[in-house]
Amino acid sequence: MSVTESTRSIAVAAGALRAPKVRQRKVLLVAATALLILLIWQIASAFDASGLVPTPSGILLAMPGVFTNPSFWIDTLDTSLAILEGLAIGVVFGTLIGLLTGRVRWLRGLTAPYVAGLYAVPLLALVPLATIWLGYSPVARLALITVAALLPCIVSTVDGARKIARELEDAAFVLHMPKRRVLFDLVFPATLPYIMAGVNVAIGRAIVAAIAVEFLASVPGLGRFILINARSFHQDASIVGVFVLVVLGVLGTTAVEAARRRMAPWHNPRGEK
Amino acid sequence: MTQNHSSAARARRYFASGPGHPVVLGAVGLGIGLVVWQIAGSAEPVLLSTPGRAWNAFIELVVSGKLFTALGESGVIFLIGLAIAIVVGVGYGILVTRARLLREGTQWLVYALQAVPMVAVAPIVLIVMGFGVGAKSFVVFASAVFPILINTMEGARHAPPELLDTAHIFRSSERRIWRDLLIPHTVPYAMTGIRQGIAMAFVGTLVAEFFLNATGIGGLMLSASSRFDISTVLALTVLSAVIAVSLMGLGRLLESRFSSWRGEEGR
Repeated sequence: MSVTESTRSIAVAAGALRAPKVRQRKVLLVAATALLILLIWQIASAFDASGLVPTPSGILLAMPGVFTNPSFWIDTLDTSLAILEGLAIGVVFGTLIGLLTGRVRWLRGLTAPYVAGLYAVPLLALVPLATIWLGYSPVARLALITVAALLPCIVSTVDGARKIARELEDAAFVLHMPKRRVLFDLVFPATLPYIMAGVNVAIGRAIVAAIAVEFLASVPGLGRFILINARSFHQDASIVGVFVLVVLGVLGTTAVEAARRRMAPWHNPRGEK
Repeated sequence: MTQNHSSAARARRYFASGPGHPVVLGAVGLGIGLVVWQIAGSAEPVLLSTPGRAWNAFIELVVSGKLFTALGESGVIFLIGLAIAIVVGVGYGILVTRARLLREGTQWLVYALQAVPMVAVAPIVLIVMGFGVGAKSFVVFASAVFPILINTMEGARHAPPELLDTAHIFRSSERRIWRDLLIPHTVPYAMTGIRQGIAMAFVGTLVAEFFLNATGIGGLMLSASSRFDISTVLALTVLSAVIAVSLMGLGRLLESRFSSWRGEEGR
């Protein structure tokens, strides 16, 4: 016993010693590929006579100009606030609708075709309707962000509300919990991790919705910044805008993931399958 | 015992009660929606139209042949983009499991690029590549390739090491390792990716048609919207929802057709 244990501990120690080296090698490899790709991109774009292809050096040189431009930050703030507002509305209503339709079967049946259709349809297809009903305005943008965020929240909440442990339901029944308390003290907390998973999907969709409306309805914001720069052949500045957009999305999903770990530490999405 | 059982049954009913078959309920829900639309549309015809007028607009598109032309245009870029995405996604996904340097070197890039929304890049694609069939197919490709690639990578990475070792011991050629081991093992995972890729390819088709040049279904939608022709817009919106749902059903069918190939190994 002691022999195997000591060999194992030696192996573990050796692994621990080797681990940083392996990681170092990996970092080097990633850096090398990144450099290689940038280099090939830069050299290849030298053969492009039109001058329309964005280049790594061009993007780098465009950065100071974009980042010191106050109107860029106003645009970014504008879009971010619209996304946050739409997300908040979509998440609150999505959760409520999800809890209700998750627990009441006939309501779920009645609304199923709408939820399935609206979730499946590309958000872009809803932009013409939104602009006709709400004008070429920030209101149309907010509405589309809200719808974009609403659907994944509904679907994910319904999923969670239907997967509650039977023992908990039985206990609630035996204790004669009133339905309202069941909903808020049992179903809601048990569903919380699923709601957060829905929010994570919603962030990406909300960003796409905001950009799509800004493009088509010319609403001021980060999307229009990207569009105007691309149209006036400042494609490098345009790429910087896309980059900021991606960073916003990654920040959002990281924050939600961290919140989920804090608020529902018992939930382990990898273990459930 | 019986009492216990009946109370459990009552508990079930307490939580998940409700009459009706899901399909019947769904149909009733759609019926209620149509009635509400009819009533609301009669009160506010300019903004809401009515189910009947939207249907007439749809028939008009069919009779004039515009719809089929548009479906053809959309279909071409959808199929070209999706086909290239499947070949590249599955091919590269399996390749990186055989080439560790390539995987470790490029995996971060795949995940980074996947986070970029295609809509935002569309104007840049437009100025770099123009608005021909090639550029539009590229948008479809770039939308669809990442789910296919990532699922294939995940699947191929979990190829059973015993089988790979056996193949090596018997000095199997690289070509036969691919044909008899890696590809059959990876197919079910790739199908999951392809299911997601099909949905993304439709999104990409609309992105291309909205932002590169207005052809196909997206083009019809844009022109109807700029005329404030609400009946046509509504008909096309419902149509694209139906297309999207059908494509998802098709993808799910494909996926379940191959899911029995999934071995018990791993999980």
